[in-house]
Amino acid sequence: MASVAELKDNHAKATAEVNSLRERLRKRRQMLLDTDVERYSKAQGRAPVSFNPTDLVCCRTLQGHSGKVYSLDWTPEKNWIVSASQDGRLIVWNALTSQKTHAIKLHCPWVMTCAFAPNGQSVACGGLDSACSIFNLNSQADRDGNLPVSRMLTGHKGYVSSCQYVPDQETHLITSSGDQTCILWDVTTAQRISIFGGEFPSGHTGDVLSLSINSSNTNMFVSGSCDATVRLWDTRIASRAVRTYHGHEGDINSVKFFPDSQRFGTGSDDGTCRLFDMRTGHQLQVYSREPDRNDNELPTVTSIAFSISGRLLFAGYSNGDCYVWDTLLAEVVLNLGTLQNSHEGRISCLGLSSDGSALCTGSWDKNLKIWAFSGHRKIV
Amino acid sequence: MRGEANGGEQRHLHDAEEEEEVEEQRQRTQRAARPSSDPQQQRRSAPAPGAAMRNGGYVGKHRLSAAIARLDQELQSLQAELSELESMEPASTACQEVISSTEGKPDPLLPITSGPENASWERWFQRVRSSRSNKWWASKGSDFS
Repeated sequence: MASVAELKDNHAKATAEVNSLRERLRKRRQMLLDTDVERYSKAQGRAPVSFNPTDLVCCRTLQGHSGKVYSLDWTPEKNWIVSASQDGRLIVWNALTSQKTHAIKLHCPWVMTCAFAPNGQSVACGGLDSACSIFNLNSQADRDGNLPVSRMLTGHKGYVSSCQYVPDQETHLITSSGDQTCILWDVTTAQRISIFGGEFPSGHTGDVLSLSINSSNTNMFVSGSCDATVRLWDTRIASRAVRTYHGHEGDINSVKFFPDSQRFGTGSDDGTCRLFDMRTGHQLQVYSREPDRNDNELPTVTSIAFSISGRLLFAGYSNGDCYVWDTLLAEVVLNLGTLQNSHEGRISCLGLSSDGSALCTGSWDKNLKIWAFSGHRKIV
Repeated sequence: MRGEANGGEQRHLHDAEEEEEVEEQRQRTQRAARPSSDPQQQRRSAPAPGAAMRNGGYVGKHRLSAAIARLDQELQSLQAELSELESMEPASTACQEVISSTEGKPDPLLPITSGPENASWERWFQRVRSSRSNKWWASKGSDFS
């Protein structure tokens, strides 16, 4: 092997080459950004979505957690929601009746994420125990009224930040972790099928905080990280990320595919949401708040979701705001955080029902709220 | 908290050399991971630059070789991306696709949307028989508690 001095020299040369190439790449990309969605839409003469003050209302408040709500997920069918809280419990709600159908006490109370299985029969959760626990909702509770864990997915070397079942596969689930990797699991055998990142060079270089699986092509998913990038993965090729998306200047707390499955949105500690084109890597739009003269710090984006057409982008912020962005015109058309009956704390999570008729928000105020359109709807 | 143990606030990696320090830090980060009262304080991002160099300057031969191999792979990947950009369409193409994709899809949360309307969209405002209570939610337009 070459001497340390020679190796250091080679390392320095390779580093310089990489930096130079990155800069060329950045400039070339900049040249291709001939417009963004906002400018393009305005050039077409489009008007922003216009809401009356009472169009979107809070029609349910789900009370029951005794700690901050950290995560929520809807069932694909029915109107059920599972939520995870600092109180160390998962609660399954019938969102229509507000009833709690299950309250699951967790072995490890430090839960960060939860998800419903596609058939609505199981829920998954994960957190500081670095594992993902699966509960079958039909199983019998023990003497203390607790549901047994039906599977434990262990293998991550850091906290589990997010989990999602693969939409058309009951038995597959993907997790993201503070160990900088994502893992695809076979739930029935509790085995790891693939690890994305880790020792491979194109993996994330910071904690992975969020993930979103492409519903049109479930072999593809994106992950958002503390390294300020999003990476696109093909579950059939774990050895390297398909693409890395740059632009954000802080941790990416939330990532969600756009309804057309060709784009995805992000929400970050840098206070912005962005829209990226999956195939080309272009950053198509930045959604930035107006700086508040009174605010010392820009509120961070904790979670995002798109309405079913993609025209609306819902973004929860650390200061309790829940902006409704017109995705095309990049304008805030409503703030659910200032409406009547809004949350009294940070919005930590949000999600749309499968038919897009309701938005559920979860907050550090310990509640979940359901929002729906109650105004006059015009059909064109 | 992010990178605070290393005294830095490194949020975004611009420099490949800084990324190599991440390799050094990764093992230390994983060893040091411990639960805190709020799991949301667990996250860590890339540490301050030059941390390993500051620690006396010794970097093993094997680590250097591995780092060079990673940089070479990164070079190949960047070169592939650069040639991809030669024939890539500009952002305007994708912008048009974004606009088109939002049209023609019925969206229950929009005040103006294409049809068909689905009656089940109104279920949030209809009377619901609950076995535990007689709660029901008033018709559209009313305030709710």
